Amino acid sequence: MKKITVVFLFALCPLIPVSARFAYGLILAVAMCWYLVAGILVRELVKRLDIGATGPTIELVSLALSATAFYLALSAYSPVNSVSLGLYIFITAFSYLILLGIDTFSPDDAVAVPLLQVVPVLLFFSALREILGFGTISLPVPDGLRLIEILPGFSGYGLGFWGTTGGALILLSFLAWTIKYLHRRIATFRRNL
Amino acid sequence: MQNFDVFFYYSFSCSILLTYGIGLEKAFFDSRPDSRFIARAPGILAEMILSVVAVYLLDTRVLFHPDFRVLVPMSTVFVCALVQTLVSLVNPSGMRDISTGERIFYFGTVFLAVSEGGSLPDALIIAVASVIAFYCASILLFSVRQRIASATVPVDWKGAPLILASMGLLAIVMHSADISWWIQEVYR
Repeated sequence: MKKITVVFLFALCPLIPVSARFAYGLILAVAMCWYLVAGILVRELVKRLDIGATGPTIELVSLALSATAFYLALSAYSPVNSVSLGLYIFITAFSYLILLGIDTFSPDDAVAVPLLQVVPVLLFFSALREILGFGTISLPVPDGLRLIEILPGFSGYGLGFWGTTGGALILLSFLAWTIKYLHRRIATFRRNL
Repeated sequence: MQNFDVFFYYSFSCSILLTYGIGLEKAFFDSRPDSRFIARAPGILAEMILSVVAVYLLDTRVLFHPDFRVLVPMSTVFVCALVQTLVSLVNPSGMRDISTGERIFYFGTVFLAVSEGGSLPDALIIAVASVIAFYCASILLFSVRQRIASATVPVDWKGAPLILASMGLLAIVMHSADISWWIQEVYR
């Protein structure tokens, strides 16, 4: 239980400001996966070179390099989205660091499980926020975002509040409560069996 | 007046914590009763100011002229790590337990201050305002945690859910400055 809640919290940083749109969540999820692949390669290289204490700094700089590479690739595909996300591409790289426990700098501690849990959470949460906040689902296209209307007439009755930071944090608190509640009920049920 | 405006804007209306999400998890963990976040304040502030000056000068004098902008993220991380090492040599005891969350807050703040600051004083004001915003939020969350500890709340709401809801309310309060008529009147 604690692990799941902690994953939620670790994912807060990139989730809150940009996850108002599913398209952004999707781009950041791809970025996370790219950092994982690049990170594994760099980690393996650093391990083989056996450079001791300078290893974490080299990994950090390599991570910044892979974030720059992702940013350039995104700029080539969709300049509009790269401008909109800008800083968050790099912030996601730092969140990736937390998820991977890179600061212990031990290959044995590099568990990819929290990262792989965050990707679906990021996608689900951004989709939920966009539906509740805008009544649409967006997809990244070269010209920006392609909006697909999910809730017709949203402007008449919708509550854009869920698209804001305050709304996202309150929504996240409901999700954390739901997980905690379900976990407790399941544990009680199993005990009574 | 313009400097005050920038300071107020980045401390409250557009705080690094609630608008950009930088340092959210650090505020969450630092607001726990056993945390030493106040003791770390001088070190963080010193690192921040030194790094902003170094990164700003490096970017504007060297990297922007031949247009090596792609190197900015790497150089920012490198300079920040270097400054952190130097500060840790001066004050080894205060720098022993630097968490990854703190690194994210530190690197993110420097990166944001340099990229959004139009001049060196602007960048420094943004960095200082961001640290103040972080500490304001952490102190408020610390108080919230104390109230929760002594209050009778449903067991499932204790801990993360209630703190997240409190953060949400804090975000609404911080952003209210943008739409408050009396603040607009003061500025006028």
